[in-house]
Amino acid sequence: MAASNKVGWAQLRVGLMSLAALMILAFLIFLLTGADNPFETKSYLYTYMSDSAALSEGSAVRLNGILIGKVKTVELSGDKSNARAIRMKLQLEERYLALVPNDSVIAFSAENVLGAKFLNIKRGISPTPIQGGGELRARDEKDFLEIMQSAMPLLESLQSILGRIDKVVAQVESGQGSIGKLLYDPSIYTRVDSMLGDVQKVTRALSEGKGTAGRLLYDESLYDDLHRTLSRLDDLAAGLQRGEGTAGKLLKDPALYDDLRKTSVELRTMIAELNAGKGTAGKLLKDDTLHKRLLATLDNLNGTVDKINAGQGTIGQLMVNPALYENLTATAAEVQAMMKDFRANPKKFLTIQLKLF
Amino acid sequence: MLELLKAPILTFQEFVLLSGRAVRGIFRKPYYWDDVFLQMDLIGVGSLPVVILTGFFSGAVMALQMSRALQKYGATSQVGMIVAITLVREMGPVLTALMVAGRNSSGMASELGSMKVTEQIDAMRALGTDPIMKLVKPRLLATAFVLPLLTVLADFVGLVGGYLVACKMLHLTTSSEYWSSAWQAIEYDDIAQGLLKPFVFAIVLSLVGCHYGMRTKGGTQGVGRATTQAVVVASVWVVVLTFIIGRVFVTM
Amino acid sequence: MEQTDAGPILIFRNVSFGFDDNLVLRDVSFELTRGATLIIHGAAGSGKTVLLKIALGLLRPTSGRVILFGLDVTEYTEQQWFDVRSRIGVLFQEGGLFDSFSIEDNVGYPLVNQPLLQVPPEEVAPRVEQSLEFVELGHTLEKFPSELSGGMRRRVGIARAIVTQPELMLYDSPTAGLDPITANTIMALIVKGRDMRHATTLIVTHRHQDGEILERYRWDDSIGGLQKLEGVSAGTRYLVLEDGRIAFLGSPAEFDACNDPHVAQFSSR
Repeated sequence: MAASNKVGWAQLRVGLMSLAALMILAFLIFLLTGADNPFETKSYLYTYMSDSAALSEGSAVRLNGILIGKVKTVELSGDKSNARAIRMKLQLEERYLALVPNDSVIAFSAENVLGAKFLNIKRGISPTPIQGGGELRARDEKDFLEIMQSAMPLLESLQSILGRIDKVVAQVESGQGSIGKLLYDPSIYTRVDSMLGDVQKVTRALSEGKGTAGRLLYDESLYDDLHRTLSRLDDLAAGLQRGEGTAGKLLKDPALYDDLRKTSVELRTMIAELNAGKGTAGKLLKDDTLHKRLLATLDNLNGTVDKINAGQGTIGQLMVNPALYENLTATAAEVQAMMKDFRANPKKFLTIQLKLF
Repeated sequence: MLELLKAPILTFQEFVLLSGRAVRGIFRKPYYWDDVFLQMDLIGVGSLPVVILTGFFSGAVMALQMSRALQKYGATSQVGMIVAITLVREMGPVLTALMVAGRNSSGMASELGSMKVTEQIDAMRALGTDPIMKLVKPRLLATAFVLPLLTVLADFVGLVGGYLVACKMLHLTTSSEYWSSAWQAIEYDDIAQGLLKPFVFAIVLSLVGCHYGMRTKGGTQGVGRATTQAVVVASVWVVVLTFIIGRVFVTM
Repeated sequence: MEQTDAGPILIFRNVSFGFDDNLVLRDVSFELTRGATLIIHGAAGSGKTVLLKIALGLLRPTSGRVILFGLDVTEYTEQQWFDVRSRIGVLFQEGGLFDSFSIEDNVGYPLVNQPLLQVPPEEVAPRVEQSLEFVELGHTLEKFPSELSGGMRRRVGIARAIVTQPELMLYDSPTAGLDPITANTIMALIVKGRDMRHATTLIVTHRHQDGEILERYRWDDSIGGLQKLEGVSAGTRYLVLEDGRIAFLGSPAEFDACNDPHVAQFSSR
């Protein structure tokens, strides 16, 4: 029957499809049964920790970051000491054992903040590699919690500091202390305020062209004066340039320069002579006797000063006698009064006269 | 109000009866192996193009859409893992089942429905053949066998699709990283889920299709109606069951 | 299996089908003796097809009893029905052929699939051919139902129905939708089946001509066609269903004489 032919083809196609799918499935399961080559021999290592940190079986075991095996079992070791409460059995391929020195240390690690935890073996320096069935030392990893705990005393001291700052702030707030007063005392403010008010008035007067300064700012005639003066200066400078007048001659006349040169030559010879100890100045420089005489003179001076201090002589009197000082003070007071007067009545005093030459 | 409920409840009751008979019949003779193989060819090999296309593109879409989120967390190396898990656990089984529902549940319903309205089913009964054995059982067996296979193929093709997007198109990660993170992410649990779901779906798909087919009334219009209903009901069940099964696995 | 030659092959006793307000059959009772012919008339929706299906066990009556071949089959399971059905030949409306099978497979289907018959495989093909020859369609072995006309499909249906040599033949509207010539061809085959094989015949139809042919003609193999009878064929009875109830059950003479308008519309007068 034709049907059987059809069935035959159907069976073939179905068979092929099933085969493909089953192969994929088998491959996947093969991969799953451990990332390992079933043909390679396995070795086991043990490590003891105080806490398994919820690490699951099958988690990766890495050597300095490279994947070399997985966690086979995690169980309670039954050991009394807390540091060895958890026993983990690690499965590695035999060939990796040779790369792990027996003083290597194993600890928890994570790929990143969100990453899965794994066990990382930090390679030791011992020349002997660890044997199968051996034990790896576990590093006491400070878990986040422990870090928190060690930070407690720091936090406590912070707390007390903050308390003290708090008290200071409270004081300031209540208006005590200079800062407090600055912040809270209204009298200073009113004083500053009135001062500012005065300043404002002066400024206004200035801007209105009142007072000398005001006139300085706003009076045009002064400007014209200045302008004229400047042009005169200009002419003067031009005259100087042309060599007019004494200063001009000074600038321009070469004869003076030649004289100066001659003079400097003479000076040089003179200095040479001085050095050689010729002439009076030279003698002054080189002669010892003068030095002695100077010392004697200083002694005399000292004696004179002492006398002055003791109030002897006119100068002495000046030094010691308070009467002059009192006079001076009185004068100062009068000056102050005059200042006040000035302030009240500036026009009386200020007459600026600019006259140059 | 009760009237409204009567119809669906009756339908469900008949469905349960049909399913009961079909399932009991699995272990009884007669076996129509020829029919089983023909159906396997029809359902399995016939759906292959659709399923492969769907799987490929869903894997590619997964990788595409996840790329942004992963880049934000700097976890682009995990794209293989994400594609693998979603495909194997959810999208592979569900999308494959939905495609097969659309293609084959409707096919079963229309085929059996046409036979019903032309009295071929009655004729079969009159001539000594139990239509459940001859028509329903082969389809049930064929679908149950073929759907898991289709799902595995869809998963694989989906991973390839994700690989092409992640490594060749977007250059998110290297191919070895993609594939190793992909298979590392899959656990036995996922495979179990990924195979159990298609199996359960297959039973539902075939029985729903056959049920609506055998219950067809009303000539050609009835056949059209039965076909639509079969697809809709089958698809809804697929979605509901995937949640239930997933829930069971998650709480496990 | 009991072979009660005298007893009726099929008995309906107070058979009802339907629920509450929707009774398709109401309290139908009749008996069909071996070798007899029962012609069931009725308008569309009067319950004819349901009656036939109950007789086949495709539907279970909601009340009443059905007795086939002396066995009370009312409560039979599907499995038990398979055994009973091997003794019945059915022609469904429109033929009921399996459109995915060839004609040969269709006709051979009952032989291959009915477990009770245990037909050895090498006997199947000859019997199929024989059946098809009976309906004069021996050349269609390789064809498919979709390639045949309606009339030819009916004939194949008959071939399939008789291939198992059943004792009881059920025909559901065999001439429905056919032109008069083809219809008569079909009816001729039915007469042939009745007369050559002495099968008990139950035919559901809405055409009074069908009844008449069965009533008044017999198959004459010598001429290869129908031969009019002098009187009526023995054992022919009419049953008219109206709204699920029996409106008439009796002999052809009574049938013609009946004045009930519902009944009269089916008789030629």
